[in-house]
Amino acid sequence: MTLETHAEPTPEIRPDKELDILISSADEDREFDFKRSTTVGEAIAVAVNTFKLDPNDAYDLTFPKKPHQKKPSEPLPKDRTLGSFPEIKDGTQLILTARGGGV
Amino acid sequence: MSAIPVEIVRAHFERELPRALECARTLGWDWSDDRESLSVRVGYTALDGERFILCGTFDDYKAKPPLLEFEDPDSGQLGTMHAYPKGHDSFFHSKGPCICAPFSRKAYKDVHPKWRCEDWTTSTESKVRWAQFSTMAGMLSMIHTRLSHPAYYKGRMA
Repeated sequence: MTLETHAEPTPEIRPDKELDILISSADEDREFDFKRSTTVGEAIAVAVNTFKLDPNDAYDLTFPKKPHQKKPSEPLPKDRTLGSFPEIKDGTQLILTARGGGV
Repeated sequence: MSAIPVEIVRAHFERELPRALECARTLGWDWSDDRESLSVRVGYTALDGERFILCGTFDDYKAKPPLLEFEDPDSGQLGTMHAYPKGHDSFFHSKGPCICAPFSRKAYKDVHPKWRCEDWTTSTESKVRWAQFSTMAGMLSMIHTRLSHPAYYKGRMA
């Protein structure tokens, strides 16, 4: 008997492929389609505009906290592309956080 | 004396509670609430693993902002310097100490006696659009951000 091995073809990851992401601000959730090549900073700008939030505030995207995680998720680096995070897939939820001010 | 009927206060409180609970789930806060006393107790874990407990009382909500106070995790005392986080700016203010923002009732007493409580949901103090922090989820999430971002969180106040 001859055993043949068939390697599964590696799916081609195109930078222009779209990712369907759920972004949650404090008060609402919305779905967004971003290219894999979109940076975190660019995604934040689109989300802030869509949620009609104050463009002059400072924002970040983070992952939701996983049950085993002891500390809160840290902000995602703004210069990285969404496609560069293995955890970000279609349907991934990201949290939009706002700094506000100290008065 | 209450500024508005308790039924209206309770309606505001119960309308905003589900979203705040959703934020608690996604951001990992310990949560308890008491609908009778219109209060919440939120346990945050900061960036360095320190635990901060926020107690919020929502009487007269939203004619007035809630009374927000940190509870000392060691002694259980409210409003000690040890109970409060320290930030990169005056949001966590050592006078009081208090959360220094239009959504914090204590800030009006301790730091800004000239602010008008009635304007808290529309304030643009320090060029911040405070309307986006005028819901239970909005204000509690902002406090979370201040405890979880390395640029904003600087440990315990004392």
